[in-house]
Amino acid sequence: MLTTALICLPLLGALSVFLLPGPRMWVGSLALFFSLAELALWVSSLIRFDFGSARIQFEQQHSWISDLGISYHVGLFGFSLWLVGLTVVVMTAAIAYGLWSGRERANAYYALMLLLLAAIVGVFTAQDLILFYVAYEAMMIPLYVLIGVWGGAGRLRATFKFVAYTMAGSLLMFATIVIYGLSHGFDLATAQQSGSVWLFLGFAAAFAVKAPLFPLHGWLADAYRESPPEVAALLSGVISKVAVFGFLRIALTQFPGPTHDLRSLMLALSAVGLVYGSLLAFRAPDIRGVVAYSSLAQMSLIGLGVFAQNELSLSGSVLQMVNHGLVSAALFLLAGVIELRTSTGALSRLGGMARGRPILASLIISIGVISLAVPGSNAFAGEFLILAGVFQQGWGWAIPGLVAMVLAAMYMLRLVSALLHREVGEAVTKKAPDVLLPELCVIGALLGCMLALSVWPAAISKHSFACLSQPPVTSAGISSQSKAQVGLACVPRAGSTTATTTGTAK
Amino acid sequence: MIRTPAIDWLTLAPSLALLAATIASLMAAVLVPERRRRNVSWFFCLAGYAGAFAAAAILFDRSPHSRGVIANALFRDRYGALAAMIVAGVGLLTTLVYYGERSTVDRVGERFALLASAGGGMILFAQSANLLTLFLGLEWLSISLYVLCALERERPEAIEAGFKYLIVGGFSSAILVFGAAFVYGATGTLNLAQIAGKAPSGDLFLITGLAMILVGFAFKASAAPFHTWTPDVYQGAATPVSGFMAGATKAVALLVALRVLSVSFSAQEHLWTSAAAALAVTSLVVGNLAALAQRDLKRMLAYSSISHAGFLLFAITAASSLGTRALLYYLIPYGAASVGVFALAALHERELGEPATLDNLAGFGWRRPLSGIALWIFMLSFAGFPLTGGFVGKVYLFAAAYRSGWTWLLIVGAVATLVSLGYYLAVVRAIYMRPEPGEKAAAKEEPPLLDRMLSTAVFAAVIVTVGSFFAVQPLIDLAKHAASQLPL
Amino acid sequence: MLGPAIAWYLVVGSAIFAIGAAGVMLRRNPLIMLLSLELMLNGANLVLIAFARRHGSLDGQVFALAVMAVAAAEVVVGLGLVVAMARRKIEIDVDLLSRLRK
Repeated sequence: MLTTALICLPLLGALSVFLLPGPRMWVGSLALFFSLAELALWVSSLIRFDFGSARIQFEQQHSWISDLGISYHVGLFGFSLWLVGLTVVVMTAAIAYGLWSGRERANAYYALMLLLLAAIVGVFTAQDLILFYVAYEAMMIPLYVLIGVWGGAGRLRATFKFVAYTMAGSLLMFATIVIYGLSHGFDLATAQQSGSVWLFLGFAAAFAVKAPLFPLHGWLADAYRESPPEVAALLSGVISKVAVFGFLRIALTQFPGPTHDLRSLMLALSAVGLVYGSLLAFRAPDIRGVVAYSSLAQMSLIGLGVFAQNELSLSGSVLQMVNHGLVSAALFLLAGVIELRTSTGALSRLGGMARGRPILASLIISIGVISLAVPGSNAFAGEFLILAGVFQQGWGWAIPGLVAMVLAAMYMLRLVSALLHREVGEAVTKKAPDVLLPELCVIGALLGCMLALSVWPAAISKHSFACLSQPPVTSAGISSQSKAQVGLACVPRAGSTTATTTGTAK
Repeated sequence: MIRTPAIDWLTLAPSLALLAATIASLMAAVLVPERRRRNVSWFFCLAGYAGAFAAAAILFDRSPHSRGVIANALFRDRYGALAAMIVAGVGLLTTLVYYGERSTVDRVGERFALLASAGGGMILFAQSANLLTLFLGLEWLSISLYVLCALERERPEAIEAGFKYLIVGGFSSAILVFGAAFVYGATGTLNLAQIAGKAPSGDLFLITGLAMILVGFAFKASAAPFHTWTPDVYQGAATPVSGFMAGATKAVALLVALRVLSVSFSAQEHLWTSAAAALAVTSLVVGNLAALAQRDLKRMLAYSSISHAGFLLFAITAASSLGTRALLYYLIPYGAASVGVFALAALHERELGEPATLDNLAGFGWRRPLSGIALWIFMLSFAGFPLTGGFVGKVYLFAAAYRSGWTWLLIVGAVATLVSLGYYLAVVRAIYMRPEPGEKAAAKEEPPLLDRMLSTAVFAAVIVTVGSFFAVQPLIDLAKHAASQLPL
Repeated sequence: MLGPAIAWYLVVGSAIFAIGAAGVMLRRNPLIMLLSLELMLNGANLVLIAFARRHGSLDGQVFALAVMAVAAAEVVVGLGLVVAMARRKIEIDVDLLSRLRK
């Protein structure tokens, strides 16, 4: 019931926000209220969640298309709980930001945002392939309009590219799901594993576009540049995580054989994307470009962790997903804050903003420093776990990761200095104010989450895969057999198999 | 004394209700004073469709076993009854939309008579159990539609559309009759059920007849390469009528085709499944590519309906019980969305006084928020997006094709869906993302046209389109009962 | 059995049908096209009747009668449209009927 409530509350919110008349602020506040209610609901599920159990929790199942064995089956487990939390937090921040920046056509805008929230929560909680696809596609419906209506000048081109890329991937996945579901079962908890490379590629292509992984990132820069800042924050902060979630939940769990056979390929793509994205971020001429390409690099790093497939790298990936979600959302909102003041994002026309704007400067510096994974930060914990895990997979794979960490420091420091230091840019006027209180609340809240995770990263890394948290895991304890399979065993499948594979993982 | 066969009145009831409605509205067109003529005729038509729907529902309930009635001229079964319900439902919505259609000439009575008549023909067509009744039903519906298309005599486009439809429709009927003659020659019977097994499966006459009958159906279902009439007719006919043709005519043509093929030609299954696959692929390619190039909304929808014929042909290609269920299910949201989208096109045309194009739709979604959302939902349903019945239908059709071993059709279908997004999303882009042209700003001052009947129809269509996504089970049960009566 | 074999009727019927089909597809005068449609239907009728004779059943004959009735109805509508076109001074040449498709 709780999971269904998590999905339905935003839907209800979308409906009421759309239908109730009222001034812009009022409508926005209502939407914010609904997202806060959703946040409260999530916290209550967090409190009641049993991290020791490897079963699907708050589970609910109803027959839907009985003819094909498709059901409405939702539930939460370790890492999907964290991703739902990330979604709710970032969405609340995004709606608050939208409220503050006063979007036109408020009813439609907030209704679509809440619809998007419901869809994303649906993706993370779906336990049936068709239901997963429904939610996955349902994300596209509001996104298309959100970018196309409220986006920047080049928004039509951006939506076209975005739709063409992602729909090509997901329609391929649709055909794959039908084939896979009819031969192996639609229900993720009971579906048999498959050894077919083609089916694996059908899923992988869709997720690789959405993440995006190199070389399927063609839509990325346009979409991130032309979206409204809060939508860009959602795109890079949350929706890219949907793809990684798909890899973890479907591609790896249901296709152990193909994952194993194609691991080198996926690792190589991730490694290339990591270095390539970092280089592009270093060369990007505007704030959003830097954040967009750094997002590509970070997603590739997470991909590296996912495909290295051992417990260190997997828990690191989940932690890093949440970290990067918070960081990139905060950075995009900051980009929005700056663009609002200077009406440009071009680094060549910005600069010297630190003078007289202490809050802006400290926000940018602290988030930038977290983003480049300074030791002690949550991002450091995540990246360290990933790289440690990847190192176990083969030390060669860790080299691009290390290179990228250096590059990350370079592009982030370049961004910080281009914005805050150097001489005052032509677009920066004296009148441009410092960060105002509402903006501070929104971005500060995200920063607070990051700091909390910096203090206690194990909250996520130790509580994502239930079977990992049970025995104290040392690196010596990992047998060669478990290297390939561990982690996958921690994704809930049929209840009994989890218990047995957990046993071997020890 | 002549011995007459026993008449099963319940089987005839849906068509008879519409026939009675035809006569009543026609009489009203003559007898009722002019100012009340429209309302009275309209009411009879509406009542006819409502009665047909109710009768078909009762027929569905009371026909657990398929059997031939009235000297084996008609099937009394759930398959035909469900087809009748789909036709009656689409007709009911169309009647609501048609009410407010402006007319340049005073022919408000006749149009409702013809609309009811076309529905009656469709139902007879869907129930037919031998080639003769099949032909009569087909002609009954076709001739009504020819006239309905051309009714607005003052508009040259309408006459053109009617004439083109007549020539192409007559051509396809002649082919069908010729094919039927050869089937009769090979088997010595016109009865659908008896055709199977009467002749060797490789009989040349039988195969020739099968091919020609298939071509005849392909014309009616507007499957490429027999689609050339569709864009012109949809564009020229009154907009609600186009919606009726897209939603109902195509539906019965495909349903009857599946019935004839499965009942009479089960021995030639390998032939007609391949032919259906070829037609499906051609329709998807032609329909999608041509639709991308259109600016006129009705013309674009015509090509979209051609590509939908392609998708629906997956069900015939599958030649399985699952395929039949998929077809029956998909026709429900598809019919609703077709009527709905043409209704909105009609609304826009009435407001503007000119044909709806992608250019003059700019700003439609903001000017009329609810209609905009409805149009958006219909487009999503056509494109097979979730939260609409179109999605479930597509899952179903793809599943049926895969189960019957047509895996490559799934890839074709996925690519076709991707291409189709190009024009379906173009509508969404037009109504939300394009700036309103300046001259429209003046038109915005006057309050938007309010047509209660049309709004009701659109609302009902939205309910069906979205509802069929959430409440799949009742519709599946209906489809299951109906599909189990075909020998597949 | 008197008269030529069934095959001859089929050949003639098919020939008439083919001539009609060619007429519909090639000719551009609405009247001629209507006429060609009638030819197609009558070709089919001849085949039906020939087969009815072969099978010794009446079904084919009845079908042919029905086809005639339907053909008459179709022609009535068709001629009505031709008259309407003439009244509205629309070109009586199908190639020029291109008001649509713009």
